[in-house]
Amino acid sequence: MGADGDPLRIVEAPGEAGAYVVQPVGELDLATVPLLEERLDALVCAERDTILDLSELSFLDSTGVRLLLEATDRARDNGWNLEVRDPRPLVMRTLNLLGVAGRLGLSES
Amino acid sequence: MVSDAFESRVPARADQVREIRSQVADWVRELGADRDVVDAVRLAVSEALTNAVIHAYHGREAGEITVRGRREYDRLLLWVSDEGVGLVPRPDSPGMGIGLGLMAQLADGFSVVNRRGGGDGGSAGTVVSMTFELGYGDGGDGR
Repeated sequence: MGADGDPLRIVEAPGEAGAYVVQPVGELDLATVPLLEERLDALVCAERDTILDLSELSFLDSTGVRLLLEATDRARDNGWNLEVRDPRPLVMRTLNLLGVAGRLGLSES
Repeated sequence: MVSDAFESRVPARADQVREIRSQVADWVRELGADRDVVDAVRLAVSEALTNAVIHAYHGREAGEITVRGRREYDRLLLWVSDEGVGLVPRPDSPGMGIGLGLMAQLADGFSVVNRRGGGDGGSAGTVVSMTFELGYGDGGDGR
């Protein structure tokens, strides 16, 4: 992944069965977390089933993990269906190191 | 030929973190480290830089962060330092525990030291030190 272009951009599109897919593309860290946080804050109010597709996320550190946990906790508290999916192996290793994969609904491997 | 030393000094700003962790990771890759080590270094440096950006200059004008690296045989030494207020427990602020815990797991050795000797006898900042085994094969000398 080159250093050109935005560190993070967010792709959004309708998905299967009326769900909405939010796909962060790039790196999630202190500088880019606010971008994704803003989108998720907006969507929690919309109350659509949402899939957070991590397949295009090339980097995640603890600031991003904190956002994922807050978002999924908040979704659970508000009856909003937010599903985290398809982390790359590198991202999954980080989630496992922090012991949060299960909490995000991802099976530990 | 890749240098055995790395140094960079940048403003303590969130938008600097990605560039510096990438530079350090690229340097470690050029040193011939295993990919797992490169990934671990990238993440650990991101954590150390992030802590410094959030906490080092809290309540003060933002200063700089210095990142230094040095390869010694099959070991990598890294220092992330600032000239800020020092590492202090702040119950009301976003927790540092998760990042520190992650660095401790990623690195083979890890320490955080508050330097004393600031102008009024106070803090002269914080130094995060980390070591990583580079994972060279038997007899490897970094070539």
